[in-house]
Amino acid sequence: MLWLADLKRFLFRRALTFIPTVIGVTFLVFFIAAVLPADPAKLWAGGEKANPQVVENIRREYRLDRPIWEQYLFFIKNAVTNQIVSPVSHNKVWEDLARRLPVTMQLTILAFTFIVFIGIPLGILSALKRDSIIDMIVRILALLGVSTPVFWLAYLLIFVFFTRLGWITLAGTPIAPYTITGIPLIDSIIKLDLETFRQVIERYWLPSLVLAYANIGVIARLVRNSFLDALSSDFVEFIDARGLPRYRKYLHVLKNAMVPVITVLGLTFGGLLAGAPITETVFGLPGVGRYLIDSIRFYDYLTLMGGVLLIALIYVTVNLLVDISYAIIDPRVRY
Amino acid sequence: MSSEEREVYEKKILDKIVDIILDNLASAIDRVRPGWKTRNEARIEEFKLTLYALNRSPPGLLGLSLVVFFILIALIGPYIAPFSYDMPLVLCDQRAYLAPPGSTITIRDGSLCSDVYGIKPGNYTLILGADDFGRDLFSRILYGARTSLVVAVMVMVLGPLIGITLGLISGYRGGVIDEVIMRLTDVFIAFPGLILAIAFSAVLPDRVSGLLTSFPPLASISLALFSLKPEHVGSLANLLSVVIALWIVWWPGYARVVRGMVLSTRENVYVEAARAIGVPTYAILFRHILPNILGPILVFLTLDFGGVILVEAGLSFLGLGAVPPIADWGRIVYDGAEYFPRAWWLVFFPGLATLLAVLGFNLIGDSLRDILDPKTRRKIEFKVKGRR
Repeated sequence: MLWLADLKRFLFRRALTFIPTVIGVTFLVFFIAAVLPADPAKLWAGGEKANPQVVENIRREYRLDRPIWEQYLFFIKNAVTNQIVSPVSHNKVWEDLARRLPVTMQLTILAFTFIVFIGIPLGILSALKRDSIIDMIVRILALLGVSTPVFWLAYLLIFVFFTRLGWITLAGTPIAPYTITGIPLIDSIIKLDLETFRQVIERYWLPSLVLAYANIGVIARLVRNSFLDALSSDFVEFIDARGLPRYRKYLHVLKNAMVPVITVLGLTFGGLLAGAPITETVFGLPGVGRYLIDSIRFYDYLTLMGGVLLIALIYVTVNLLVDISYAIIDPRVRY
Repeated sequence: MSSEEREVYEKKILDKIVDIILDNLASAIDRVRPGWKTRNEARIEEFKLTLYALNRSPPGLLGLSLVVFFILIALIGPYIAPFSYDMPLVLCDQRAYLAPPGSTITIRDGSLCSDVYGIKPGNYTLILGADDFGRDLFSRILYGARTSLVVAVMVMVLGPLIGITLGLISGYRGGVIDEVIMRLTDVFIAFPGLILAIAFSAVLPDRVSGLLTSFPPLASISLALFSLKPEHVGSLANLLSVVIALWIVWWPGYARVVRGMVLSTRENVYVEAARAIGVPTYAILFRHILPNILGPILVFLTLDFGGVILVEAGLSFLGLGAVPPIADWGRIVYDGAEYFPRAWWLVFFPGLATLLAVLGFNLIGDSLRDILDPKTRRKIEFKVKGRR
């Protein structure tokens, strides 16, 4: 059971770095408030001509008259007890964000699916056919992927698929008539509800593809290089000597090649979340990213902070899960 | 290496240009700090070899020409632009409103444009069309190159410097300092980059504009750098906020990477030797360790230069950063999207310009990675030098 003890120690150590990171994240999010314009209360009350009494009330309500550490504790207390109230919409920020989160989740989940199911096979193919046309195409795809402005690609594809071909819809967001996880895409799969599933895919496939595009080529290149690295390790010679069939050999190689790919896929998730504001804006999807941008327009800084905090928390949690699964798969990381 | 030996391999014209530039540069430095050239002979030679190899890689050359073209446009664009970036030509010719590429407008003698704005009367062809104010898209794209380049240079001067310095200290010192710096890095990396940049470019402008009013020279220098008219001084705060936001976002990656490289480099005997003879820490870091990890860092710098241009365009597309009438590629798309797909040129051309500029940096970075990779380095060296 030495193995389990090792794993436990790793998890403990990983948790030790996780907690300070989360606390640091809340500090940094709060720092956003610290650089705010001199008097947000006046803005929230309606600008320069606002009634001074109203401004004073808002200032007291949001503790803007208190010292900075007290403001921080107030923010954290409200974040934990779901009491952050937007001074602009007067809604609870977490509830507003929760309503928009499913859109962003569907977008990122679908994009992630595209990356995995297009990127990895492309990478393997280009490693097996090294220096072929496919290899060349993957290389160009990777380069273009990191060079193309997402919004530009989005408009080009809208022009082709919406204006010219009429294959996609750009209005509305499909909802499921039932809630299990709250994300229609997953709910419809659980319920085997083909109609809702079709609607979701119809609305989301193009935005997700645009979001995934930047990463598909990068992941494919990574899989290719990692695959070639694994192919040149000693165990492959042993497999050859034993005379295993070709596909069994490649299966072994693939298993070894996937180790670094998993880490990068975890990081890619952050890239997808970061890309959400632009994609959601172009395609008119009411997700968290777009909501953040709108909140900036209305000087709704508490919503902005809440949204940034939410996205960062999702991202650190995903990375934690990736690290843990990584430690379970590959004993070498548990140093 | 003596000069006869170097003549053995065939030199392309580009190699000769490299030679001339580097030799003159080296002599110039030598004049300020005597003995520099002889001391760094090997390093200069190695750097030349890298550039020779770049000259022989077609993607690298393509990237190089794209980047040189982009920088050239950014430098001279504002002077060769047919119109100013904010010239609303609709005031003089109704046809300028959302004029498609290639349409012609007429500036009449005695009109507002000729009398007040000093445009010579006559016919003008708007090769890339115009926007809803009749502002010439071609001119705005030329000016936009300047905006992109200046933002990218500003970000790349300080961001990586912070990261590299912290990474050097963290990796070399170890212990508590290392732990603190790395936890700090973790916090910044916990945010998907663009999200943090969005938040900070949204809240910073007020503070920055306060800073600009208290330091007028800063404002006038920035105006000249961005090639803006004095009346648009108010928009500077937003542009500079993006720069600061990207500083905040762009250092942690470097800190982490550099720390990792230092950890393996500091165990080398030459570092130990330097320490033994009492070389001060900063000198060990910057003279003994940094030059030896510069290759991979150079690749990151090149790739990130493109990355900053892309992210800046993305931010201004979201309405952050540049404010109209400032010419900025992302912002032109943001404002033009309202008329999409009717006025497709307002989306297509600025986006294409961004793509080409960023692609240039990525192509160079990609080739440099191959050239500087120690595994393939000697192979390339032989290929460049040819048979003796």
